Amino acid sequence: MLFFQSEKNNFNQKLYNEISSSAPDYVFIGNSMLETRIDEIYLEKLLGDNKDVLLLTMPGGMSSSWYLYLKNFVAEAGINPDNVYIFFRDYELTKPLYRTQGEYSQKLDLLSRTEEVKFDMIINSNSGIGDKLSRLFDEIYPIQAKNNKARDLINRLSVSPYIPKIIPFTFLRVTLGLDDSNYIPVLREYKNIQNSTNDLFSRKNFRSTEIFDFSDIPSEFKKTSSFLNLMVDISDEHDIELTFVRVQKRPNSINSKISDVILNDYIDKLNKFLISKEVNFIDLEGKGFSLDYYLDGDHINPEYIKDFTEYFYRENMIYFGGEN
Amino acid sequence: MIFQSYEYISLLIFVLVIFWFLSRKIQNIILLIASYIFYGYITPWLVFLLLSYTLVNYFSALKIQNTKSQKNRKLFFAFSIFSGLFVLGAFKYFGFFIENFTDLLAYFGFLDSKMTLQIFLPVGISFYTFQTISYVFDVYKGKTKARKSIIDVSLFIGFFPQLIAGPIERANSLLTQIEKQKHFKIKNFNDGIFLIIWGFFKKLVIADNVAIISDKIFLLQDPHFSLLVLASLAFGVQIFADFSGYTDIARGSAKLFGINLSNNFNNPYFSRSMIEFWRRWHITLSIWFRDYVYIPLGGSKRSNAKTYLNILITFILTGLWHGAAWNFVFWGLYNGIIIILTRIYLSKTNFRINALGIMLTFCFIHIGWFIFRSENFYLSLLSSFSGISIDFKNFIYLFMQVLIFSLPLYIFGAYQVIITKKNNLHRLGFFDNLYIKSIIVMFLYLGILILRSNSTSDFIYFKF
Repeated sequence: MLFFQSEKNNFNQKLYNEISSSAPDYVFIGNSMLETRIDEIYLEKLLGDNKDVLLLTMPGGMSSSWYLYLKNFVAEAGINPDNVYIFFRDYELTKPLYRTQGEYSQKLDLLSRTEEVKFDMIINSNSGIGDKLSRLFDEIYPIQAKNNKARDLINRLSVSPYIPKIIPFTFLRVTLGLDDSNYIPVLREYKNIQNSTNDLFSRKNFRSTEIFDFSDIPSEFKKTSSFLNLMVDISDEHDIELTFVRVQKRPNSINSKISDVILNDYIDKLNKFLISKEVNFIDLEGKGFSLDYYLDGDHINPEYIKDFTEYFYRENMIYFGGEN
Repeated sequence: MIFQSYEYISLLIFVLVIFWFLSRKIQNIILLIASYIFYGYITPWLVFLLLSYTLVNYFSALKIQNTKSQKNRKLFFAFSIFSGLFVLGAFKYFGFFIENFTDLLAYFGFLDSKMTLQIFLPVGISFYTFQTISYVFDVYKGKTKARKSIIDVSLFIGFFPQLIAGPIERANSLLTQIEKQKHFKIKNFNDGIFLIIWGFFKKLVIADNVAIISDKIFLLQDPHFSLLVLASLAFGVQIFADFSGYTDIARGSAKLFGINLSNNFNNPYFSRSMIEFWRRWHITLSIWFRDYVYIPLGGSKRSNAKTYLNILITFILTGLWHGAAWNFVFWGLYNGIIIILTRIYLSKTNFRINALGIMLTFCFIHIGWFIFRSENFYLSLLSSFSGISIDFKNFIYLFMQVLIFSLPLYIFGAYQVIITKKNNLHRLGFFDNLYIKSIIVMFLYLGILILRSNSTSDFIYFKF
C-alpha cells in the first residue's frame, strides 16, 4: 500500500548464504557507477581459468552500504577473494550520512545485522540535531520511503493524456502494489516518453552556467569519522586486499575552478591516507573514455559496458590482481 | 537558520513552550534572543550587522522625535536613511556597479578586461533595511512615535518569523502588537499550525518539485519556444508557491506567539489587470514603494506625464530591489510600462470582461516571470525559434507534471476567490471549521512526507 505500511526489513540471509557458499575471486562493491561499468560475466570470461566475479551493488547506495557489504557479506562470510574493489565518486567515501534515510534506510536494513554498533557510532557522530530528529521520525514511521511510489504515480498520471490506458493500471499497481508484468506494451510506451524527456535534459543540451552548491563540499578530510576508516580497518583485520577505485567524471562536467582545486586537494589527501594504510587506490579520473561513451551524468552507456570492463581489466586488474 | 530544517522546528517548539508562561517583558526578551539565534545560526557575524542597524535606527528615531530644530531633525533623518541605504548598496549593488563600470571602461579601451566582485549578501538585508526605513520615516512624518524600549524596537526589526523574507511590517502594525500583552487563544494556535503546514506543503511539495522542471529548461542552451512557455508557467507556480509558502510559515509561526503579520498575497493569479496584480502580489512591498517612493515623488497628483514617470521610476526601483542585475531592471520597466498602458486603457473605456482580464493578466505576469528568471532572456528568445525541438508527448508529460503539483494551489486559490466574493470577507468558509482544518492539516503533512522533492533549495526571496 502506498500510505499505511510501516516496515523494517530484515537482514538478507539468503544473499549471505549464497555468497558464503561461493568462492568469488574478485568482489566489486558500489552503486550505479559500478553497475554501468563492470559486466561480471564478461569479466569472468576475460579473466579465464574459471575465475569468479561477484558484484555487490545498491543503486544509489553510498559509503554506508559499501561498508555493510564489506563487513557482512565479504569479511563475515569468510570468502577471501583476491581483491575487493570499491567504486566511488568525488567525496562519497567521507560523506557518511549521504543517502542513509528514507528508502535508503530500508535498503540498508537488508544489509545490516540486528546490531551494528560501529555503523550507528559513525551515523551518530556525524548527525546534528536536525539529522537525529529526522532519523527518529524515520524510525517511528518510515513514510519517506514511499516517496518513490508516489513519484511513480505522478509520473504515470502525467502521461495519461497521451496514454489513457495507463490510469487503471497505475492506481492498482502503485496503491495496491500489483505486478506490472500484465501490461508491458503500455509501460514500454510510457518509458519511451520518459527517455525522450531525459534526452531533452541530457548534459549535452545545457549551457555552461551550471548551478554549483558550495555547501556540498566538505571543509576537511574526515577520515576518522567516516565509513572509510571502518572499511580500511576491516581489510586490515581480515587480511582483505582492498582497492578503492575513483571513477571518471563525465568529460564535459562543468565545475568551477575552485571546486576542482578543492576536490584535487581532497583526492591527494585520500591517496596519502590510503598509502599510509597500505590500501590500494586507483584514480580513473581523465582516463580512457570520451564523452561518446557516456549515457547520463557519470554513467557509462550500457552498450559500452564491455569496453569499460575490458579497459579496467587490461589497465588495472592485471597489475593489481598479480597473477594474470 | 532556515524554516525547512529540524533546527527551526526545535527552536520554535522550545520558545513556544516557555513563552506563554512569561510576563510580557520577558516574552519579548525571549523572542529577541530566539531571533538572534535564528539569524546568526549559520553566519554569526550577521547578528552584529542587525544589531548595528537596530542601534542606528533606535537612536535616530528618538533624536528625530526629541529634537525641536527642524534642521537637526532632517539631519538625523537623512543619517538614518542614508546609512541604511549605504550598507544595503555596499552589500547588494557595489559588485553590480563595479562590473558595469569596468565593462564600460573596457568598451572604450581604458581597461583590458572587466572586473567582477563576489560580495557576500547578508540574507534578509533588503527586508529589514526597508522595515527600519519605514519606522524612521513614519517617526519623522509624525505617523508613529519613537519607542523608548530598545528591546521592543530590536524585536520589531529582528522578529525571526519575518526577518529574512518579510512581510515588511510597519511600526503601527507590528510594534504596537509587540508592546501589548499577548493572550493565548486556541484559534490563533490552530490557524498558526494550519498556515505553517500549508506553507511547508507549498514550498517542499509544490515549489521544489516544479522548480526541477523550470530550472532545467532555463539551463538549456537552445530551448524551443514551447519549452520557454512551459518554463515561464512552471516558474510562475514555483515563485508563488515558494514565496507565499514562506509568508504562510512566517505568519503561522507569529500567530503561535499571538502576533498577526500582514498578508503578502491575495490570490494574485486571479487578478483582472496588472494594477490589481500589484495589489495582490507581495502586498507589503507594493505598499512600501507606494508610501515611501511613489507618493513622495508626487504620485498621481500632477500631470499624466509626471504620473507615468513616477510609475516607471517606482517600478524600476522595485525591480532593482529584487537584485542587482539587468533582468530585474527590465522586469521592473516592463511592469511599469504595462501598468501605464493599463491606466490609459481603463481611462478611455468601460469595456471589461473579468474572465478575459484574468487570462490576459495571467499572460502578462508570466511574460514578466520569463524576464525575471532568465538572466539572458533576449538570447533565450532569439534562439528559441531555432532550438531543440520538442514533440507533443514531451510537452504534455512536463506540462502535466507542473499541473498536478500546482493543482492544490489553484483549487485553494479559486475557492478563496469565490468565498471572498460571496461573503465580501477574507474568510476561509468551511476551512474555518476546526475539524475540517485538522483533517486537512493531517493530509498536508502526509503529502509533505511522501511528495516532497529530494532537491530542496533555499527560498527564492532569500537572495533579494
